[in-house]
Amino acid sequence: MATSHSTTAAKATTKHASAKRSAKKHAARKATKKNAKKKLPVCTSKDLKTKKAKRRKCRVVKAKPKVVSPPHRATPTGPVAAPPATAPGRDAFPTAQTPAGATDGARAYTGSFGVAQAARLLHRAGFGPVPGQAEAFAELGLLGAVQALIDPGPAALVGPAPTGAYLVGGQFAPADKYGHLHLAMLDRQVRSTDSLTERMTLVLHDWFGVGTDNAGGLRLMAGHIDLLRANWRGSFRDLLMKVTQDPAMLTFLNGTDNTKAAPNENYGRELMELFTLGADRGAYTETDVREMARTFTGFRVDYSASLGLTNFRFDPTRFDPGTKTLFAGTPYERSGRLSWQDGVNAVVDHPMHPSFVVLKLWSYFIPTAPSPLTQADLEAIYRAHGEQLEPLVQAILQHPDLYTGPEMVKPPVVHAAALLRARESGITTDAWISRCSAAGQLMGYPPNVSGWNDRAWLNTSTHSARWGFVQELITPAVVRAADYTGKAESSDQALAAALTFWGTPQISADHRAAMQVVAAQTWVPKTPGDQYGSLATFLAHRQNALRQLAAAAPDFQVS
Amino acid sequence: MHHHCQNYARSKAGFAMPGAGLPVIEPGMPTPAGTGLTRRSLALRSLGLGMAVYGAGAMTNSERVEAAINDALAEHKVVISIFFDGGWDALSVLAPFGTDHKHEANAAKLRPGLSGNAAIPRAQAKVFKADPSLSWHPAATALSDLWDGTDVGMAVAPAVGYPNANQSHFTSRHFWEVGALDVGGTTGWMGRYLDQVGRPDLPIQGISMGGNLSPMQATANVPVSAVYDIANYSYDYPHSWGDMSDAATRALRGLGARATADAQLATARMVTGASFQLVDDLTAAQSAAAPADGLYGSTPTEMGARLRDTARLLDTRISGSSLPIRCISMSAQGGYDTHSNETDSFATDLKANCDAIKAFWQDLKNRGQDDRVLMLVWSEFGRRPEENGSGGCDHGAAGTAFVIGKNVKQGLIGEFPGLKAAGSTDSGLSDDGNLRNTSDFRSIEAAVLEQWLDTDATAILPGIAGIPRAQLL
Repeated sequence: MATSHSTTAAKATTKHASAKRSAKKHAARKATKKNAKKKLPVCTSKDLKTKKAKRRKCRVVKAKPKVVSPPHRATPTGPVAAPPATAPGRDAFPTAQTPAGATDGARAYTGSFGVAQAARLLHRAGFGPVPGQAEAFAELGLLGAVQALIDPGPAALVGPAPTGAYLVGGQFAPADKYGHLHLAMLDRQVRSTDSLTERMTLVLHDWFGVGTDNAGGLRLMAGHIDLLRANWRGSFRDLLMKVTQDPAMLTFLNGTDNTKAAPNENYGRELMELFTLGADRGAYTETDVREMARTFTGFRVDYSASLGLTNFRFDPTRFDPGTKTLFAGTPYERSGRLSWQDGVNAVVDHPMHPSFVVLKLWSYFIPTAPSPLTQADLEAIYRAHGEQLEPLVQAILQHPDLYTGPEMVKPPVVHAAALLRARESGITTDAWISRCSAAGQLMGYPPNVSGWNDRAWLNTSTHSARWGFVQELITPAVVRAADYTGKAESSDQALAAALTFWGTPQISADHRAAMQVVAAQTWVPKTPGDQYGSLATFLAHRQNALRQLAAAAPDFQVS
Repeated sequence: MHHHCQNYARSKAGFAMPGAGLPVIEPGMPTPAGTGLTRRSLALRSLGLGMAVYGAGAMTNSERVEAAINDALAEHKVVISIFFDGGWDALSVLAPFGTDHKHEANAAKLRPGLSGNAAIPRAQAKVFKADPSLSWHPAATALSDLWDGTDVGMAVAPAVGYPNANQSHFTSRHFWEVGALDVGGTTGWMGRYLDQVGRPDLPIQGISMGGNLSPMQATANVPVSAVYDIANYSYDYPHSWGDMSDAATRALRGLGARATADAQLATARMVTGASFQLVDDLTAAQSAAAPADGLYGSTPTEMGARLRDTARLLDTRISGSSLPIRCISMSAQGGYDTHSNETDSFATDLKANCDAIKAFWQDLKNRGQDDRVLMLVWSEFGRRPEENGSGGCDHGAAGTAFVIGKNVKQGLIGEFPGLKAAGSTDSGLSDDGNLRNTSDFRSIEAAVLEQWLDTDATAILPGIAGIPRAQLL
């Protein structure tokens, strides 16, 4: 049995520990404490009967404070409790040991790790293999391959740089031109040596669901994606702190409209429902939505004709400094003059938060639910590593369910990037904007705050758009009669050539059989019904049809 | 993420359960090209796929084959769902003022901005004749016109919802879509209807206009389809045509009909088969007449174009037979989650949708198709009566829905409960300040099934037995 999280995770944890970040967090906590100490009159029973919005400024004193444990001590639910944290700083938590009470639920896959398994890993955690990469990853073995994804070294862009008249000075202009954020992300997905970071950026883009139209426009949207990319390896708690203050999010979910005088529930609700706790599981109440909205009051922004939305900041005069009570009546109730940071900490410390994160993150990589043991172990890993996503991703990518479980439909942009990688092609056209949009995934424009519907990528409409992906890549390279003049090509050669066109991918037996039927078509010269007139023309048509069939077949939409 | 809402992957596995190794789709059939293809030959083609899907043994009886063809040729009653995504501000669709002023003092307190003259110009707002304490937003004048006219009837539910309203977009929408207060439901109520009456070989029986499948049509067994643009739905091969591309398409359709126990691969295969099937039907739709000039405006809005295409599909004839469409779903144009600055977009989008709906009914009438269509217009909830100070309002409870059709009985489904705060005997608001519901969405969905589609609602809507039905027809 492999340890539930290998020592590599420990290294990664240390690597990403940031003294600066901890100091900042510490300062923020101190500030919160200071606020809490400011003396207000104690609420009388009469005050408490008054609606909170209309209540005079007073502090609610409970007979016994219900929350005593520090944030990192919250206990996850589930059959196996998380170990209590023993180290002072979450980032410095030692990870080489198996957490107390953990089982082998999050063990690593020990079966054969060949080209097929490597190709699946590269599709699930990245954007498919470039020619030869699946073979190279198979050589590394499972743990080596996952490690190569987790720690790829400094990211670099390799392969053909983008070309085309749509570029601005030879570059993408994600902050200025519609669709260029999508193209710039697609380019990184195709070319970055850190595939996992690009994949996690896409995952988190889906997770937070921020869309350009309601997020203040292209510039802020591009900033949001940069924020996700730069911070995914840190703790989810810190990421949420950053996302909460992110201008794109403040605009998207009305953070800058949320004031003491006029609370706006949008962010408070979705923070709990979609980002951290989940709906319909009793994690919070409608009262919590309203109280949470109050904790997030105070952000504001200016508008200028030349700069647009500018000068996002926290304005204490707009903040509701009164007492808020979150999760009232539970063992994890938080009450007091809570700040927005307290609001973030309250949801992250909520005992139902780890199970939400684990299940949601898992669902991006594996289509079947984790076993209760695995679920519990992953929750323990999440808490033990100070709510970092990276060790969780590592455990998921090593998990047997990824390799022995069923297929998963490639998300549209993963499919597009994988086709480009298979062709070792760069971005040469902005048609990828409309094509990916028609296939159901234009980055920068998720359909709503819940992101894309990751289980309904395929329908008759998106299917025809995926057909277009393949056309887009075949068309510039179609073979014509002139390419076959004076040449012969057997059925086997035709099939092999069509697969070579796509980097010799792994295909299913059914898919191969279907291609063989088409490859076996032969030209009967000069019969009355002949449509081609020459062997060379026929061979060209056969090859082009086979190339389309290779990458547009249903079995090629999954990995 | 609410995966449970739209779990097509699991729900569709049933379509792709072919007996492995059966012959591929009849190699001898002519390629459909809009002309020269009879509906009967299309039906036969479909049956060929059906045989491949279900095994030849199921279809050997010639009477059954004939019955199946007739089923595919029948002209069905159609139900159309139009969904206003985001939870529309129902109190701005039918605003709480009119010749009866009973709500106005409360409205002035709760929503001075959103019910004010700047947001809803009163001089242009027509009073709602069924309840003169309410007025149509001027942007919804087209609906008022439909109410006044004699072409269609309209049933209006001014406070529709369900007990213990859930204020999550996704949960509330899911309840409407699955037709029950069931967070775990995986099939839609239209989907279950299609499973009961539909066929394994007719993806166009349920069609979502726009690029996404409507979760309302999530089926367990039969295929449904989605289309973004009916005029540009094709499968061309780059520099390959004739026998070679035909052979490749046959191979793909054959692969699409192959059995697999893998759920997502089954979906991919099923969708592949359905897509090529749909090409035939949509190619035929190209031959249906265009609507009268200007009916949807000189430049149709997004919604206008969507409903124009819908009318064209309904009017498509192949050798005199209609396409076997039963359910159509679409989202209205625009977003309605107006937490702030509602007036920026609300009126423009509402007007585009209402105008398009009015034009659509005229189009259907011109085409003689209006007597077989029933339209349900809805949103996942109504927004909170009290505005939030950002020029918008937060998530609420009861909202407004409309049922429109030539045979619909004009009137109210439940009354408007008023805006009096909780506590008084006739309060319209609940303790949390949201509008109380006076009708239940399930009573409308059940009525559509029973009164329009002649289907036993208890077999489709779990828990419907104790809920009284709305009188729609």
